[in-house]
Amino acid sequence: MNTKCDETMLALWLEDELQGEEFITAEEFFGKNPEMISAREETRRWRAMMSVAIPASVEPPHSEFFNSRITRTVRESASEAMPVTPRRFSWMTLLFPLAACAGMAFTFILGLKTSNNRLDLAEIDVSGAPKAIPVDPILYTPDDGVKAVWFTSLDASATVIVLDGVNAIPDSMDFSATASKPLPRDIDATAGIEPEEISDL
Amino acid sequence: MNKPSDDPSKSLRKPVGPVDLDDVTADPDDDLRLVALAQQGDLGCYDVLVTRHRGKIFAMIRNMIHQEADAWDLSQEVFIKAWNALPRFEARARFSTWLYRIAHNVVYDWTRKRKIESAGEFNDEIFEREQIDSGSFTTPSGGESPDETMASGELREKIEAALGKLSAEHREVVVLKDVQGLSYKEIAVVMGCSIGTVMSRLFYARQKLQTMLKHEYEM
Amino acid sequence: MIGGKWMTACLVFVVSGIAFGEEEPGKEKIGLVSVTVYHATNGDPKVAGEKAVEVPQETAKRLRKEEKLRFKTYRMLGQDTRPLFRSYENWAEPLKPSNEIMVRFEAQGKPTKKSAVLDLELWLGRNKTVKTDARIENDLPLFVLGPEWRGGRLIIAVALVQEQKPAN
Repeated sequence: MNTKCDETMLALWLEDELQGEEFITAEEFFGKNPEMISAREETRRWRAMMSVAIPASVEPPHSEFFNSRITRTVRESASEAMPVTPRRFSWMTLLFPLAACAGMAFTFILGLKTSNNRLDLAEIDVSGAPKAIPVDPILYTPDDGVKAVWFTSLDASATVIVLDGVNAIPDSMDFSATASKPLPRDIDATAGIEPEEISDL
Repeated sequence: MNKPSDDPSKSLRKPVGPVDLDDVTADPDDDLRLVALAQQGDLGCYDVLVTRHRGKIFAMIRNMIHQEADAWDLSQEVFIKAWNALPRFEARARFSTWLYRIAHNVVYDWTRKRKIESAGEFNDEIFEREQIDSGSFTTPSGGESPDETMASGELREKIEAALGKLSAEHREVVVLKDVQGLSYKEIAVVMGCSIGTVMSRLFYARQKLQTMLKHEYEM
Repeated sequence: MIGGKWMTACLVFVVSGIAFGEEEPGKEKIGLVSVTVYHATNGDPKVAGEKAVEVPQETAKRLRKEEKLRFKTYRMLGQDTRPLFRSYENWAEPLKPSNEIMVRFEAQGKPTKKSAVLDLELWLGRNKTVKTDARIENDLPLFVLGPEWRGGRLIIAVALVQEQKPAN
């Protein structure tokens, strides 16, 4: 513990960074000097002005997305680091003995016989709902002012959610920078079913 | 020394022990507890740490480089680097101080890549006002009136303009001390220099800022 | 011969599996999700901007079949197609570089060949506006009647997409 009232001690005293014995010592020494007290007050005023004008903490935009990107990157790097065969590719592996090929072929056959997949190693099954049974979707709107209603539209052969109470996007907002381009019919997924003749509005 | 688990199947476990995921207050002791769990591969605990500290890191980087999009990316980089370096964190300093140190390095590398002159001259490249959405600043608390909000917004712009005229080292020491509220000792750790150097840089930087902000400061 | 074809198939599998590495299960791509934003209006469709594209007839007719989605004209503002991972989330940004509309999605459980239950979040103006676990099928997209804009409404369509083979 430094009990000398030197320049370092003074600087720390001016910034209110001293505690305990050091503070008491410095306060006794510098606190009697009106100029020093004035300097400390000025420092405090400066810091207060700065901290009010410039926030110390600003939530990054899309904060949930911010976190999820980090999580994803961390997971990806973790999975890349895992030395699980046959994850690593090497041309030498093409020379694996026939036994290894046969083992993989067996796995392949199992995969063919089982719907949808490979052996699950570390799958995270996040749903208990049977996948084949239609269930009413859960709808949640964090904002109390927004209402959402869903229904199945047989006419449009789609699920529809109607939002009510969302703020309008300002007309001044421009999306011309979006690289929208005409898409051929076969990759416009919402074109869907063969249209029947209907009358226009 | 602990290191993150090698088994990705364990990399997303629910936090062990009472963790209030809505609690974003940065209690240094609780940080260390979460760090210890994260060092064992608990990504959920690390996510809590990210939530707690992302605001400060983003603010610090944005105050340094004045480009919001890059600040977002660099903030990501800080937390990803921090995760990778977790095994080397030994709790000698606060976790937040350690993060600031990483942020310092990230900003330094970014700046160097862009070959930005740090001679203290005003440089448009590092100070593009259009990149910053003023509305994205956290609203000052305390029930300011609209007039007060406008006044503090104007003051902020003037301070930012003045900060932009400092060299990177001087700007950083002011940001860390007067905005982020770090101690001299912590700043020395973050910037990798002596406390004496921090003090002299801060003294010079404040002098220069106070000269540039003479009218605001004397009000 | 069946045996010969079988062996060939196995070898192809083996080679491709070795060549590309068996991915971590959660990262396995199990589908494609397309998010499209349409501007629907009964007024002048040109307000959507020059780059907005008139939607195919079939799409327009489908949308008009549903009373709540019925408008005179539809223009496509943007589209984003992203992979659906087995147990990772993904984000679609159909109006990129604008962040005004974003969709976060993640598979719930195991999808079938034709359908998937998705944990979906629609973000409007950087705010999470609605969260749902929607069942999307190959021919059963989700339409969200969204915010007003320039005299009309934005319709956000989420659909499963069949992967297209590049045309020669």
